[in-house]
Amino acid sequence: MNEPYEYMAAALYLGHPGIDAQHEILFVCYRELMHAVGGHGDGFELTDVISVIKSYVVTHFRYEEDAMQSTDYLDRDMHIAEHRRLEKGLLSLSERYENETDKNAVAIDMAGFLKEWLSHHIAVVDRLLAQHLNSLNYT
Amino acid sequence: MECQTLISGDVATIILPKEFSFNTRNEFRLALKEKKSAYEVDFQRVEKMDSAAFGMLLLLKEGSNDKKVSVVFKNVRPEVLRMLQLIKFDQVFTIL
Ligand SMILES: [Fe+2]
Repeated sequence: MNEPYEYMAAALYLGHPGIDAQHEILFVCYRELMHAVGGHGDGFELTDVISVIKSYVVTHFRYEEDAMQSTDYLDRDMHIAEHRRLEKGLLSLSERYENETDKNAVAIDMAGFLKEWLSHHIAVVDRLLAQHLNSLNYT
Repeated sequence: MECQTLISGDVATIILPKEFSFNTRNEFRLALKEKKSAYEVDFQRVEKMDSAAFGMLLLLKEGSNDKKVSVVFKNVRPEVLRMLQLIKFDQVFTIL
């Protein structure tokens, strides 16, 4: 049995079980994206991995935005604006993925964008939200 | 215990192992090669899952060839259900 693989850096765990578990899945998606790019024959289909990222990001953002709404979170507008920026970035990368011939190159750009965005957003913006939700015992 | 796949017509039933995790990734990936229009995922044996397993379930849902496949989860234990609810899979999948 292998040791459990660490998908998300320890510093990015925020102490909110739902948010942490959902973030971990986004990092799993990042890892699968990098794996699919390699084309070693042991990855999932690149197109499927990209679809999963696009759809689970929406599920995750909906959770956070519902939580902000129902707890009257003060930084809500700023936080939601960041979510829309990620969605816009992902949309433009998936359009490039559709149109460009070098799919691997676009997927690598997408992986880089996703990892950088997630790391910053979680460390700074989501951290404040997690503190707020934890203070209210909101799950 | 391993992942088992039973095929009946256009439906594949995937029986998940007791510990569904990164270690099952290859078996699960091979199960997906059976291109079916419907998958039943049987959680009866599952006691432990990790985030890699959750990613695999999302990949199963996306299917392939741009067509959405139907995926239902069955025999989910209450403690596993709580985990699936935590990650909002109850909004993504049909849990019987
Ligand atoms: Fe967020």
